[in-house]
Amino acid sequence: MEATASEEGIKALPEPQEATAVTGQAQSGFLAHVGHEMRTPLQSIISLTALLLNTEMTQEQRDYLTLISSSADLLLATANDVADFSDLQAGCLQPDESAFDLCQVVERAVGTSAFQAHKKGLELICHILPGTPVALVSDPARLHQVLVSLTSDAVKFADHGEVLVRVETQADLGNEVELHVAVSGPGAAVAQRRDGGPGLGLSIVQPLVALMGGRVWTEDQPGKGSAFHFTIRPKKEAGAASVVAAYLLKPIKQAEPHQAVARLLGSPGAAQGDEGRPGPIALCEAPLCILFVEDNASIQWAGKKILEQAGHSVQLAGNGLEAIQKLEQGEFDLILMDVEMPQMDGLEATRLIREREAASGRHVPILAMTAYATRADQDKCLQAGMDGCLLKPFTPEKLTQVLERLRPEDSTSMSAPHLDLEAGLQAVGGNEEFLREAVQVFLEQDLPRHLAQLRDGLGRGDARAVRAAAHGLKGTLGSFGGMAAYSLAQRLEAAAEQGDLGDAQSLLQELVTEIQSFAACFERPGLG
Amino acid sequence: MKSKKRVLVVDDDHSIVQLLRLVLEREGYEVLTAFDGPEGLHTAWQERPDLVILDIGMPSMDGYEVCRRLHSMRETAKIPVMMLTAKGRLSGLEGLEAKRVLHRHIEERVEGFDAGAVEFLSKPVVAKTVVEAVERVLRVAD
Repeated sequence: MEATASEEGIKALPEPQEATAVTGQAQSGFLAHVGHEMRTPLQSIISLTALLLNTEMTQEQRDYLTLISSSADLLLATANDVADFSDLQAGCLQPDESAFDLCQVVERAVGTSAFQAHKKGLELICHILPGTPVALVSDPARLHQVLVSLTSDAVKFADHGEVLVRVETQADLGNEVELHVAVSGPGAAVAQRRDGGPGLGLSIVQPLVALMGGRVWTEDQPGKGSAFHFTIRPKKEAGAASVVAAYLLKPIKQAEPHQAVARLLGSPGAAQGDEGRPGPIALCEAPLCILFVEDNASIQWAGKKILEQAGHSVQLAGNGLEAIQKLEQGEFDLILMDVEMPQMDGLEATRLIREREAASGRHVPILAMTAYATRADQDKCLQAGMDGCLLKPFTPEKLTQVLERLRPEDSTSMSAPHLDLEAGLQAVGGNEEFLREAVQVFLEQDLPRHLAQLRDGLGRGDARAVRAAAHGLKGTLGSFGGMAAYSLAQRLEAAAEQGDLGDAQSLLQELVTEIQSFAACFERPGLG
Repeated sequence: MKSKKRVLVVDDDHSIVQLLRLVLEREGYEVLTAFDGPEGLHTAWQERPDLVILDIGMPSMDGYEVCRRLHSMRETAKIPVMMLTAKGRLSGLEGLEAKRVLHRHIEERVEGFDAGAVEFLSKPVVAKTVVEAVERVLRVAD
């Protein structure tokens, strides 16, 4: 009896192998279900936060919402992982084959961690090495997933320094290419992951990478940081031969969910939309000697490359102090200055440079490179003595344009010309006589009145009157191609608008002098 | 062939008036001129031009007010008005100013359209743009 009972007991138990399979299937079905159930409400959280971010709110509210939004993005990524994990278990995950732009996929994936990285004071950088093909065919959604997972891990386990996502070509196989991606950070992400750690992490990364024809390995340097490596083997998109010239991203500080990374020095492949990719960087006609001040080595490298490709000669400095030392050793036509740097930041350096210049009367144009979009931040740059801000993101084309604009007219002045004949002639449809005639009327009839209004406004301390008068004068000067005077009138207008009449008096003096130079251009028989 | 179309230009800057006169006359328009708001209103009422180009920033009476008054008088209510604004340039290094300029630019337009303007021209003036806009507005008005 006892034996029978025991026999029945054994029988009643299913085969251990089968038991796991059945539980596995049930689990997998359940996971798939949970994944799906999570994704639907998450999707609405994500779209609604995006909508909400487009409305007016305080900076504090925006920060909270941005945090919510990037958390939702991460949660969605996890939900996707769960769904894929169950598919993988059920053995029914098939790789997709669609064409994608490598730069865009990397930018979006890494961007989901930008806000977290910023909160922790980490630098988050993407670097796609030159020559990497960007028009590829593989499974962009899976690649996105893998990158999101590894990047958010690297950010999660780091508390200082930089997290770098680096992509390079390992082997060119003709129709296919083997790409090597490394996600490295100062934290011990590898060790944490090996010991389990939160989230799905490697359990999903490994099979997904395998699905894309690659493999995963890790690198651990205790005390120094760790890196995840993987390869994928996408096809090259037929007929598209585009490769990256130079591509480097840096997160912007207040990351918006859908533009969470700023293109510091963009690439052709990163151009928005699907319009034709711009060609290689045009060679500049008047090469400049540029001092590029930036603490991040990768950005230094890429910036130098881009500028040199345009024909400029570039010297590097890693912080404000180094910049000042370089300036003592030689002269530059232009300084491109990062704002936040160790030892001495860009603002401090600019102030010192301007102080030193006061003696010599020289004025090196300094452009800030900053991701800060608020006026207060930009005003800080101008107050420190910078000549302008180059807002990140900026593309090589934008940079080249700005440099063109800054090109010195002659060795003594970097400013706009007294007379931009082309602009002036545009106003009159190309007729030089018309231009002369109108300018004569301006000098004889309008100018005295404008100046009287300005002086009167200044005398009464009436900023509004000064602003209005400067505004009117600006439009007229601009119409006749008096671009330097136009800029001065604009500065005067801006100062008055700020209620700052302190500088207005000297600006007005400069303006009068400049208008005299402008007028002198018309005393010559030929304008050209 | 119809008679010449008549365009009234109102700007306190004599040079801008002169510039537009030269450019538009070359295109075959008859150009009337006025140098402030009240004079512009008076001329418009007396001459009934086919189009008025109005500077926004004039001292005694601004362009919006002139436009509103034009459209409140039966005789001049149907005359299309183009406004001339010194909005400033958005391109180039003034990027930090751009937002503010753009904002003002939009405000100007909203107020201008409210006042009844149908078209805007920006200073610095570009002859080609002016001529094209004048042609366009007159074509619609016909």
